[in-house]
Amino acid sequence: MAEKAYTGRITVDPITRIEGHLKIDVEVKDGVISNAWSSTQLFRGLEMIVLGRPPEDVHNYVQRACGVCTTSHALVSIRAVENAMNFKAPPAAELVRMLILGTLDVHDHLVHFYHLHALDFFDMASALKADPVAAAKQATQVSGREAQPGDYYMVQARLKKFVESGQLGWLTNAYFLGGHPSYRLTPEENLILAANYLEGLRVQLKLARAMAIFSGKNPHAQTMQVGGVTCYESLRPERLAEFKAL
Amino acid sequence: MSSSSRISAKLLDRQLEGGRMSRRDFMKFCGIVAAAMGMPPAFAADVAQALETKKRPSVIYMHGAECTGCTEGLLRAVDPYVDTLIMEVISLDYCETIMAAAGHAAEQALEKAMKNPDGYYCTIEGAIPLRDGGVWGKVGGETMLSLFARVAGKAKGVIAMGTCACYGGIQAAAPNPSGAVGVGEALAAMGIKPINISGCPPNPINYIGTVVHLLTKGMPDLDAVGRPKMFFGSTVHDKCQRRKHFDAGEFAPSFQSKEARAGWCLHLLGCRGPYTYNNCPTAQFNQTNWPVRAGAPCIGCSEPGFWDQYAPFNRDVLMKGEKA
Amino acid sequence: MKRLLCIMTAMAMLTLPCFASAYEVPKDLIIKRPDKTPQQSTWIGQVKFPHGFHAVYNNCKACHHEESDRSLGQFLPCTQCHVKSGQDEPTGFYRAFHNSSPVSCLGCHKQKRLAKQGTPPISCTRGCHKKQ
Repeated sequence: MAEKAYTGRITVDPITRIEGHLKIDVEVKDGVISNAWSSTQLFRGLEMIVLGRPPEDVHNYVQRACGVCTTSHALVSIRAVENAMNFKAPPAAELVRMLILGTLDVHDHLVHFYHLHALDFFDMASALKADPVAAAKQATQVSGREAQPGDYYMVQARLKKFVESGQLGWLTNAYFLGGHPSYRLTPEENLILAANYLEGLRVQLKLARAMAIFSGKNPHAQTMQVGGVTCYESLRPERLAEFKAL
Repeated sequence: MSSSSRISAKLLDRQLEGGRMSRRDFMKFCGIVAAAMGMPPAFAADVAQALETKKRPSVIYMHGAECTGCTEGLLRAVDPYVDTLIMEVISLDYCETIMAAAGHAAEQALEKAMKNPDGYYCTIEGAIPLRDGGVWGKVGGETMLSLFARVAGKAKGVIAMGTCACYGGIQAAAPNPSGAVGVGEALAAMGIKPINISGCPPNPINYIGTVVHLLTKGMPDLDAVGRPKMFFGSTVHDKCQRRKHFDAGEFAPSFQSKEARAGWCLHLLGCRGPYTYNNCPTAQFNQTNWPVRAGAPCIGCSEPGFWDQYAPFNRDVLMKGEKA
Repeated sequence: MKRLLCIMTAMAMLTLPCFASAYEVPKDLIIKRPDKTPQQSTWIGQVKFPHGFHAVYNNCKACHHEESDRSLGQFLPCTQCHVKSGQDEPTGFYRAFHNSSPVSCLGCHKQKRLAKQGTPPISCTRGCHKKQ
């Protein structure tokens, strides 16, 4: 697309790699965005649904506002009710809640960056052309951990096999296919990020498991209630050790 | 028939008769195909690989009125891991949560996936809003009702993922502002009977187990509300580890009681286990825990209409005449 | 006219004895554990079952589900057939009442609640197994 000279309207619907349904409309004048609108494409009415229900129940309902940041809605709802009652939860409960929220934060940072955003920044196809040894060297420099060229070679081989199968799956029509000027990273950097993308899928498992030790399950925690948390079993030493190990 | 296609037919016939094709013959066949495609002889090796590699089944994953919790739940799968699943087991040809393309590119990816000559399986997460012609939920400018009818209608099989897709879920709770209903109900007129994997969210084992069963042994046995009996055949109460406390009449009276601390039965605190069908006590979530084990009473999240029928949650289910 | 009156009286005389010896549907029943089934829990005793109430609102065959060849006065109690002990026994004593099928107490009560046709009891301690 000749970006510099374009004048007109661009609609992107659906916006992908988000939670929910979003439409973005932009008006472009000579390659510069002059006006923009965003519009949600789904209305469920959770606020209307919780009206009239007992306050101590509401955290279950609003948690389903989003399955990615799920626990944050539940916690806020519980805090709102406790504030209204001028009630302070016991310190142990607060600690457990913080642990649950903390694991959610780390989990979300990881998943949000790699599996939701990163495909806008790194080019999986270009990773196939990278030199694994150079990639490992760069990764070691940047991250401070010892990166093995063998690992990157394996990732590259796996990607190669995947691309050659002809079934690109969720990478179909990706913007980087065939090269795109917006993707400015070197092939080695792309390979590092591709490897992290795949490894990230395994790491997020452990983070979710750590949260589940206190929240009962992940997504959608169930142990947080108005007044505290219910997970006595999780405070046993072996469970705490399990959490720490993760 | 041209000479090249005649040779191909002869080679294929031999294969069909059950006689094994020698490697040399097979490569000869690939060479002919390559030549027919106007490619140099070296391309024969690529053809060989493409034919040998079995094509991964195509899955189209649609999102309706949902919270994406079920997709997140799927990300927690361990057997197989989700990266193995989407790279080596299936071909996830459309899934708005992780797919690279957006807007028109995504729409085209969907249309391309729907034209797959080998067909595709459709998984739908989230309910379908019906009020006002379905305008309260749209994807790419098309109502979810219309889009899902198209996609599910052509699919080899439809799986409704999560309580929302099965029975309407959270948005269908009173007063159901968007008129949301489950996939089975919305598309019943088309004769679509999805396999219901309910739960809020479902254990990924239940979904993946069903997909594997579909691909290897065909349709699983379903219960009266469309859930595979192998996962939803018993109640949470049946296999609960706190059952010995229930049987002994040991009920925790409140969350802060010493009985709750001791892990007594949560019946009086509103556990819906006895009438909830799911495998939570045995399968567990994230390989480590499940609500009752963590002291949280079951809310019955795999049952139709549980947001209304089993509410309010932290007390025993309401009797006739009792108010919330 | 007189002939009609005679016929009417004769008919009334014939039907009267039928009503006099009509079958009476049992009003309240006690559901007892069959002798050989061991007690599963310590606190669950007998269940007082308002049979008459159920008979008014439901078809007999809705609960007496395997007795299509029988009629009023001939139906069997559940415990006649459902005698096997063990919670996992699919047609055992426990499952007869606690099942997803609408033929069982729990299954039907769940369905009615879902269809918003009232709030029949499903609670363990406050419903059917309430301490009398």
